[in-house]
This record gives sequence, structure tokens and C-alpha cells, in this order.
Amino acid sequence: MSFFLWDFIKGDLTILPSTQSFDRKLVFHVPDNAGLIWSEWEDASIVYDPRSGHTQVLNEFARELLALYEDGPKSLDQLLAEFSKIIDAEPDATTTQNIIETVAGFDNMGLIEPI
Amino acid sequence: MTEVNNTDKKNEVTSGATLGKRLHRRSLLKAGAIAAPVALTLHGGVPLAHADSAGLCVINLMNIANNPADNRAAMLQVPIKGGQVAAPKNGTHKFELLPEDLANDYPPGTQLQPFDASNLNHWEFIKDPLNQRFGFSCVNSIEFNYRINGNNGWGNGDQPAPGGSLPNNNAENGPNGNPN
Amino acid sequence: MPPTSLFHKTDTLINFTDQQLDARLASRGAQLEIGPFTVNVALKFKNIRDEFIRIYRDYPFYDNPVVLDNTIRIFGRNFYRQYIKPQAFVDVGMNSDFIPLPASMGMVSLEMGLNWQVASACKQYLMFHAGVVARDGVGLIMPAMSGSGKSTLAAGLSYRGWQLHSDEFGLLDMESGELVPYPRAVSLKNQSIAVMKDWVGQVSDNAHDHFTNEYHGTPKGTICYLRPPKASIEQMHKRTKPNVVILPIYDASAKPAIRPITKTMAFFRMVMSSANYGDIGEDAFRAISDIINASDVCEIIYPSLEDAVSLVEEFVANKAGDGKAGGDHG
Repeated sequence: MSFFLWDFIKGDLTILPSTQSFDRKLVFHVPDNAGLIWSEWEDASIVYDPRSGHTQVLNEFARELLALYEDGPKSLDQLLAEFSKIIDAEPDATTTQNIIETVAGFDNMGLIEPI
Repeated sequence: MTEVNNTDKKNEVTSGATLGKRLHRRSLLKAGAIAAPVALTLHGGVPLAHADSAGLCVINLMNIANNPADNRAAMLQVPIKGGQVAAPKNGTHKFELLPEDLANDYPPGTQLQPFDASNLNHWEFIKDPLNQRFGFSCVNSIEFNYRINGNNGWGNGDQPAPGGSLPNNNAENGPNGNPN
Repeated sequence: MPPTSLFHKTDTLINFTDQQLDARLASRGAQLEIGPFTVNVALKFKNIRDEFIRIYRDYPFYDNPVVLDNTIRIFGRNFYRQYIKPQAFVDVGMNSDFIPLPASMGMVSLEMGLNWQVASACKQYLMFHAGVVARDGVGLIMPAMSGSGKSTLAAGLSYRGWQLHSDEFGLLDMESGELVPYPRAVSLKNQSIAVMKDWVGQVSDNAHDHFTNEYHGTPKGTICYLRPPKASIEQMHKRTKPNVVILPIYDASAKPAIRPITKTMAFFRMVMSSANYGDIGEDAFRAISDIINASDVCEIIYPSLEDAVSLVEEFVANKAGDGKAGGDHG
């Protein structure tokens, strides 16, 4: 059983180490052959990843971010640009940081991989 | 022999995914109905906890929890009530209630989650870990990798979002019905 | 009439008198079938044997040869602990961390040991920490933490006509998608003991005979065990597909209510309640997804057992349609 929580809080609680060095130009994608199994209900999407044996739960926001990666490989900057088009606005600083953290989380979870 | 890298595997959906659903999702985002993305790793319960719920008196959980060399220790949190833990009294077959104790491998400042099942509601596990409530118990082992506060779109299903339900969704995702 | 076993030949079935069962338990052990598991039980203390017989006398016992899933022995480790200051030592044939209890509480040791064996080693069935009952094609799962009242509710429903699968272990056959009954003694704690004694007394003249002694001074307070209804024992091999999931919340000050929950929440609680979900992996994920897709789900808040049973009956009747539940509302 992995413990993201312990990795997360071993350092300073206010800093997420995984996002500090996150390369915004690095292109990520969802591998076609990941074999992900989805169950989607009213307000969340739940995915089982047979490669890791982990079950991940995504709310609608996170699900859409992953869906953008499923549409095609892209960098973080490209993701943010597409997200801006969806909401017809530039995301504020908090939302941008949340998106970066989520993408870092996808990377940690193994849902996306760099090309 | 099982093939590990099965390049024939495709991603699969067991229920609910349609183009219409994606359009609906995008409309929620555009409306600002969901303020933050949330992605969690969901784990099942642990056998020690399941057996424990039936009999703390026969399983020496505290010794396991306080022994970092025991690989079960990291997944344990001894159910306690009112900030106390039931522990066997050394040398006897009696039990005593002691103040909260910490497993040696927990980070400093960790507090054991008080376990009062009579007040448990289904959104208690969505908690802000920076408030020292990690939402991690030996039965509920959902772990966090983010702050989770504000409206995340997870309500109890009694109202659709967005619209008038927005403040209610926010309330539903706070402890005891209070907004985060 | 003991149920026909799915696993053992009927010609190996033994009809013990109480004295014969006592003698067998005291010696090499008696082989008892409870749902899908067969366990050899050996008890070296008379008081524990008496309690065991009171609860399990109507269960099917088999003679050799049978294939055992588990074995459990309770005994004093030496002369002093057997006769002078009797202390129940539990041996389940695997590494364990059991604290020996006073022999007077040996029935608690026995039940805990049996729970431990299933909780730690069962991988062939998907396991939920839940009360499970069934009736007329309705398979009801109530995943809940210890102390939430699920045992009392499961027992209460079973003494009002529902088949008790378990108050503790929901088991799912992932191949058939059916719930597998495992009707053991119901573990009652503290106030629920008096509640159930009254509840059972309303339908049985000799309610006292259904209960073990009360064991005081455990870390969970007072514990007492209740024998499942005879019909539930006789139906221990009757399986039902799950199609209702109810999350029970006991609150003595609450107004009884049925609250809607999303399928997502129900899925969360099912996974959280499953001790072998991670071990089983993909099949477990698919099985729980299938259950949630097929089930009507809700949460009930209740201040009394009577209210809880009424809420369950109401939800099953209204959402499921005259006793038959199902349908994807997701």
C-alpha cells in the first residue's frame, strides 16, 4: 500500500515538492494501452489502473483535465490554454496552481506519462 | 504466464461516460460550479481493522502500531473514543484507558483520528490534512495528496449543480455541514 | 434440519446430542460448517463449550473426511492457566497477536478468532465490513463502521423475516455476483443488548436461550452474542444478488430520515469497507461497480431499532418496488 500522504508531508507542509520542479514544457499523455477501467457516476469518475492496482477518484474538474490529456499529448502550458478556452477566461492564480498540483498528481499516480 | 506489457489493452468504461456527460462537465466548469480539481487514491480497509472492529480485546494493535519494523504499522490507526485508547495493562489480562498515543513512525504533530462511529457521516473523510485531520483511519484509508476545501462538486445528491445548489454543495463538503 | 451443504457429502453429516458435541469439542474438535467456511473448533474450557453449544447446536457438523478452511483451539497454556487462574489462549494455526483473555470471556476469544481468520485470509470472496440481509430477491448491504449499529440493525431485520447473511462480513462471489451468507453469532454491545433481548422477546417465547452470557469489562464495554434465527441457519447456502445499499447512521437524538446519497458516495463506502479490495484488485473494482450500478442507495438516520427497520422496509418497498430492488439511477 503506497502512502502519498507521507511523501507529501515529509517536507514542509506548505510546499508541494512535486510541483516545484514540474516542467511546464514537458509533454504528457495518457498511454492508449494503460488498460484503465472507468466507472463514472453523477459527480465523480473512478478509475482502476491495472498497472498499479490503484483506484483513483477524480471530481469533474480533475476528470476534464485528464480528458484533455486523453484527447492528445500536450504540455502543461497547452493544457492551461485549452482549459482557458473551456471556461472562456484566464484561470486565476489559485486555480492555475490547483491545476498544476493535479497534473503533478496524475504523474505521481501514473495516469499520465511523459512522451 | 501473464503478459505484463499487454499492448492490446484498451481503456474501458464500465458505466456512464458519454459525450453529453463531457459537455455537461464543461458547462459546470464554465459556470464555476466546481472550484478545484480533486484527485484521490482510494484504498480499501485493512484486515487488521476489520478484525479489530470485532474485537480490540484480542488483537494487540498498539504494539503493532508502535513497531515501525512491523509492516502493518503504517496502515494502522487504533480506534479510540474521546481521545483515549484502550490498551492492555502489562502483566495482566485487564485493560486500561490511556491518553492518545502516537505510533513511532507517524510524523510529528500527528493526532490519531478520534473514532466515534455514531457521528460518522459520509463526507467526513474529505478533510483538510493541514488541519491535522488526515481522514486516515484503519477502516477508512483514503489518503490525500492535496488540500481539499471549498466546493469540489461532491454533494450528497439531493440537488443538481450548478445553480442554487452551489452554496449547499459547499456546505455539504464541510464538517458538520459548515462551509470550509 | 441442517441445510444441505454445497461442499460436503450428506453422509458425513453428524447429528450430535449436546453431550456428544461437548465431548467432541473437548477432545479433537468438532467440524462445523458456517456458510462457505468449515472450521474445526476445539474448546478446552467447559464454560466456553456450553456457550458455543447454545449458539451453534443447530449448525451442520461433519465427520471426516472434510476439507477444512480453518481450525481454532482455545485452551490454557499450562496447568496453572488451565485450572488455577484459567486463561483462554487462542490458537488459529497462524501468526497472530491475540491477547489471552480470562477463560470466563472465552466465547469472546472464540468469536474474535473466527473473525480474524476470515478477515485476514479470505481472498476468494470479496469481503465487506457490513451487515448483510436478504429477502424475496432483495440483497441488502449495509457497510458501516463498528459502533454504527449495523450489527443490531442486521439482527433486528433478521428477527423480522429477513435472512441474516452476516452482521459483520458481507461476502460476494465475484463470479456469480451473488452475496454468500456467513451467518455467525451476532455481536452485540452495550445498550444494543437490552434492545435486542426485548426485540427477540417479541417473537420468541424463550428469547433468553438465544443469547450468551454478557461479558463485561472489554475495551468495547459489554459484549453479548445472539444466535441467528433458525431460518437463517437453514438458509446458509441460499444466495442473493445485491441490489440495495444502505448506509446506517445511529443517532439517539435524530429524527428518523432517509437521505439520498450519490452512487459515488456508496462506491466510496463499499471500497472503504472492503478489507481485501486491494488484494483482489481489478475483479473487486468491477464487482463493486456492478453492485453500485445495480443498486438503489441511500443513507438512513435513526434513533431506534424500530425506526431503522421501518426506514429500511420503506426504502426497499418504495425505491425497489414491492420487494424487488434494482435499476441504475446513476
